[in-house]
Amino acid sequence: MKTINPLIETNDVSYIYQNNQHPKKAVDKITLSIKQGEYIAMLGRNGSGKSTLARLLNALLIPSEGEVLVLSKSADNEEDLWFIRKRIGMIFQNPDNQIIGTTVEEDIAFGPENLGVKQQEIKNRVTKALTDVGILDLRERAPHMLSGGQKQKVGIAAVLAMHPMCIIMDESTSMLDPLGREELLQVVSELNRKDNITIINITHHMEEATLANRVIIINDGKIIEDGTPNDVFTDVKKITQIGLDVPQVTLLLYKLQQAGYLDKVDAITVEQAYERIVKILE
Amino acid sequence: MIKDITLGQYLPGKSVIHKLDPRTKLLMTVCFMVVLFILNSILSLFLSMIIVLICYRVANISYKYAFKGIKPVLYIVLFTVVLNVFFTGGEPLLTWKFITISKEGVNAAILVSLRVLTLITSASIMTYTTTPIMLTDAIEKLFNPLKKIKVPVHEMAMMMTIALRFIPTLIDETDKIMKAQAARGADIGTGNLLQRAKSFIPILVPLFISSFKRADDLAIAMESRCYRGGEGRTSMRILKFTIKDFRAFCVFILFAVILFLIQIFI
Repeated sequence: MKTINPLIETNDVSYIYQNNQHPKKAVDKITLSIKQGEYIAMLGRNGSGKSTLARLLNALLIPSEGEVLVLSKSADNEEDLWFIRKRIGMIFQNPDNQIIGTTVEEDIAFGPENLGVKQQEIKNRVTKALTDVGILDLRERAPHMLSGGQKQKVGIAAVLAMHPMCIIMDESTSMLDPLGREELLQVVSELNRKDNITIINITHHMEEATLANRVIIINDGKIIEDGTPNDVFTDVKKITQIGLDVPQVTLLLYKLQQAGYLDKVDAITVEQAYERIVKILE
Repeated sequence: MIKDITLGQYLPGKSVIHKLDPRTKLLMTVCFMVVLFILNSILSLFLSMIIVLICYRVANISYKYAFKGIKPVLYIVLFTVVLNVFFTGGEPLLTWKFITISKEGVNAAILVSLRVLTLITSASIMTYTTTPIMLTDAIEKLFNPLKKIKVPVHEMAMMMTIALRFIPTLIDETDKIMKAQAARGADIGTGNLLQRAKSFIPILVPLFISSFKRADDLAIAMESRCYRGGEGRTSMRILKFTIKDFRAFCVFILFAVILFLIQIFI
């Protein structure tokens, strides 16, 4: 599914929450372009507007100003709204609150059923989605018998069964244990690599962000950094200024730089940092 | 504590009764209830009880398990028996001081307890052998004609499905809240009835609040997966009547007729 046009485009998009007498501008004139097949990590503090932005991208929220285009369509009319939601799948924070079916199979069938897919095709899609995520053995299980990580995998399979072009994870790893998180991220990376599905991972974990090939940092409803993880994280000063952390190894190198052992910080993974430090020691 | 409730739980199996179409089971259960209310001879009610017990055998459900399920109901039955025995007027059978037991009273007590027990055991055989989701499907399909007069059948079935889906989740949550409140020194389940009822408030309030939050999350999750009501929706499960259902119906009608004949002629 190669497209020349960007998959998602936002032009000066803003969103204002009309809360009582105090309207709050959660997203402030964001212009953004996302291509098919990108793996994006979106970072920001609580209340920075990153979740709001995510909901604007799949038309769960309609912008107060500006426009969001998915494959050049905006959610102006009913027909295009469903067109967008079908292509931009979303997985949420609490795994319990997004499973609708009483069994795993039922839940994954929910999306295709809504799209009006034929019975036999639904069954095929369910099997395919379960296989892709690697939980075919859980097919008949009830959701409350699953671990958190398994539930989120069900969430991904449920989105996959709708044949999306993009999956947004709205802090989906935040309630998982380290093992469950790792497994989920592995599944997602695989989908990105093999099926060229765009991934947008909204997260608090800097280590997760290093897996992406593009990092977007949002603060006060604005994009303040947008680039490769290497470019973004090595600007340690700026990131710590807005109250975010950098990956631990980057912080280590930053300290080393300040102590005068290094002339620049350019590592975000343990392996890279290892090389740099070995070099200093030599 | 709450997990011990066996009444109305699905027991997986491969018996004939398990394999029947849920609509058949639902219809038969409802008809059987009507039959039970019409019958008023002890013999035919007793026979219908036997029929239900045979059904348990066929469905491969142990009597022990079934008995565990009706245990809480037994108190109600006992209560009605006492009421009927002591407070029905008629030909006195036994008199001791101011207490009189009449023949009619004993008769009515036996009738009522047989009827209630048969009702419950027959209804629970349906829930024991049918998954809740199949039952919801059956209800949706059976009430489908009502859509013409603007009854929101699909929405009601969807609500039932979601309720069923969240029962175990909410039970877990109740358990957690109870423990959390107990850790804060809440005294749950002691004292008199009023005190005990009051002590449930600190459990119910958080449970309600979190349920609203869940409902909100769930609605968004459903919307993001393109849910837009029943219009144009397909289903992965398709219900089909088979020859088995036809046979089951025939057997059912046969028994019903026999029970009525017994009542009339004996």
